[in-house]
Amino acid sequence: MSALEGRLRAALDARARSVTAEDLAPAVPPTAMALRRRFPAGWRLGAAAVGAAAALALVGLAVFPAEHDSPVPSPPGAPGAVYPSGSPGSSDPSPWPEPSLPSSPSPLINEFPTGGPGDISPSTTP
Amino acid sequence: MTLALPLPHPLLRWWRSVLSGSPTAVRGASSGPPAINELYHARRLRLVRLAVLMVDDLGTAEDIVQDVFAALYRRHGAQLRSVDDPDAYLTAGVMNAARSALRRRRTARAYAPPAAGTAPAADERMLRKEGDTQVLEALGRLTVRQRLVVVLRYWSELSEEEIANALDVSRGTVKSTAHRALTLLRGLLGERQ
Repeated sequence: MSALEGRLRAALDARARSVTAEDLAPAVPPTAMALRRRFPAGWRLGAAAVGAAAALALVGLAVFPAEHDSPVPSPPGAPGAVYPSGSPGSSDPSPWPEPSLPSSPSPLINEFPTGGPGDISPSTTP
Repeated sequence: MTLALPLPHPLLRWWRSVLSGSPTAVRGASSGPPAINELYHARRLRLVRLAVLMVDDLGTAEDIVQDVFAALYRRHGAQLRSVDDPDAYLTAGVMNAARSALRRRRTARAYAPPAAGTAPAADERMLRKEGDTQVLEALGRLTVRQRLVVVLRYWSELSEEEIANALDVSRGTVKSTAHRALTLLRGLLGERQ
């Protein structure tokens, strides 16, 4: 090895060693490079925002359950709701007719024969 | 109060990978890390150093190495089963990219003075010996091909045949290029033969 070759090796080695692992940018492996191309930073940011909003919504639902779905029973001594009465002195203050059950069974039910097999008489005789 | 979302593991891994850009979202990857990622972590620093010796600029060198790994992944996939010698592929890729970068830079320098970023920083200069600085400045005056051959020969310690394969030239071309480069360097550095 000549003196020049020795100088070349030493200079190249010194220059190469001046670059250390700490000098390099954070490593991005090739598969992650492809992924970043497939999902650019804007998409990843949007996905993160949507995810955070969904998580907040779930937390909100868990902490504050939907109270308006079930009516809260009023305490016994509390005044009830006041409905407008039809006329002063009327015996029926409710303006809404209450559903009434029929007092007698439906006549349709009585159209069917209620007797046993013996009640059926042949209409014609052989 | 703990709110645990019953996300299945693959979905969770995919979500994390989308947010972080980690390699776990690669479809078809085996249980271990992909071969190309292992190669990347093992060779990255050395390849960046090789590129720095060519282009003398860390940012450009890192870009070159990233691009070469991306090209290798696009062409041969994550497991590199179809590549005989990934090291040779990467060395050749870095050399080709460095050659292109140097030629672009020299073309630009024909129209504009050199950018301040390409010169070594003051503290970096002070760390080098005076003799090393002279040699590196002399290297900068070689042609692109001469510089490629000198770096591969005296830093990568490749044989003439390996250099010929990496640069896609004949072995005779490597020999003659190295001879001319050494003659020029001797003249520039005032060395006697």
